[in-house]
Amino acid sequence: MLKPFTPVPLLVAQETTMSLWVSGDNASTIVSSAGNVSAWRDQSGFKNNGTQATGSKQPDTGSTTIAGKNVIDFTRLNSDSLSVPDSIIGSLVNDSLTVFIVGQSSVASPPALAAFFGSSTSTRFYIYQQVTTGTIRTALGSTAGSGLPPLVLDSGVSASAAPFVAMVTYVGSTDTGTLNVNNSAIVTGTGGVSTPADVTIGSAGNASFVQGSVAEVIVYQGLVSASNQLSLFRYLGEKWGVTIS
Amino acid sequence: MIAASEFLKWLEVFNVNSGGGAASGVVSPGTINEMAFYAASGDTVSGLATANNGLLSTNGSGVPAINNTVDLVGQFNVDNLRFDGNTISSTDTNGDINLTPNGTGGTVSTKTIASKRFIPDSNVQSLSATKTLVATDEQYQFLAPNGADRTVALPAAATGMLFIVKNTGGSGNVLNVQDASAAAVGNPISNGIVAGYMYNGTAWESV
Repeated sequence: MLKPFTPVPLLVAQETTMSLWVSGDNASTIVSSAGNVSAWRDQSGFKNNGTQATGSKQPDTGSTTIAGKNVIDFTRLNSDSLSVPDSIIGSLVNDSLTVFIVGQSSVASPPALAAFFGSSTSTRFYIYQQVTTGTIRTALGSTAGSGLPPLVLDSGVSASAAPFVAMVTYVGSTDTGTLNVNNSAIVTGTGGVSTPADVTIGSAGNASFVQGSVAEVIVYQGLVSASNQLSLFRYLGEKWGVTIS
Repeated sequence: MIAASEFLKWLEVFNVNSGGGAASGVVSPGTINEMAFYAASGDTVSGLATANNGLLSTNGSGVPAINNTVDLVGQFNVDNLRFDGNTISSTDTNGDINLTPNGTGGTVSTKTIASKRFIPDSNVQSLSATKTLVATDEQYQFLAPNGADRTVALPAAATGMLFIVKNTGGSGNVLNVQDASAAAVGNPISNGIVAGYMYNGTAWESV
């Protein structure tokens, strides 16, 4: 198949604004010392870098691979995370959002909620591994001020059995959310208006830390079209060795 | 088919101009599509109608005439360039074949060009200011922002024009790509990222 010169995430950005793109396989975007990552530079071009100034909370690089490519490991001391600007998501009261994440948990069933990507509890936007069952879930919003119940969607797919590509979309105008794992496990629901804050990679607002790896995160400030969603699934699946339906 | 040595033996030149002046040369009677050059003493062909800027050659029946259109069966060699059948080749060691249009002319093919290798020129550069590309610039641009975000300005373009740009810098500085009106084209290019830009007849788009 003829491949474009421009990476697929940037091509899709012609349709929907991309606010974050980090990938573990681009060594030139990872700032580290002795394997501890202080910055994971944003490839969207807008410099929404993931950062962690505290050495004891810095994730690792150079220790774990998926499909032979380097990923960022968030297992050290159960406190690792990288903060990204809240503006990458913005308000979801009326606006829409599309998030892709590639990762894998190192534990079959975490003792507590373990977020690959998320905001603080009060404004929750989580993509996480569920307690006990170990499945990939998303949770959005809180009851405070919204009048809507939090939206929680469970893919039923294990976060530890194999690397996964998860997509979460939220359409603020209809309060509709979707969790799609590997383009095969798709669940949809309504509810959960939110304006996420304290957004991090590897945790939910510096709590509920993941025990595992994050290979790539892409955030679009809008709803990516169905055709481009498929393009991104295929791009990420081929890159990280994940079978996409 | 004739041997090359025999072909060369009877190959002579009639250099014909409108001024006349007697000369003689030899072409082989009855040989089809023969062309002769005459280099030395004569400048007029006897017994044939003259024509401006023509060459003496025989037609498909072996009849000699001075023609402005010359059909030749065999090879045609000029210095190190050979025309032979459907092939144009260079005959010197590792000789390039250069197509060099004059003025605003270009090299145009109305058919598909097949090649085992196609390697456009590239430019490797550490920037200290805005990089303004022009239509004749190298197709591949390997650009290092060099300590600051830099602008890459694409030219007012012709349909199908293509540039491939890579940010080769090792820092967080980006390349902001703009069109000729200074409007942003796609997202900025961060370090390590390659992006392609093609003019679609109306605007530049990422490809």
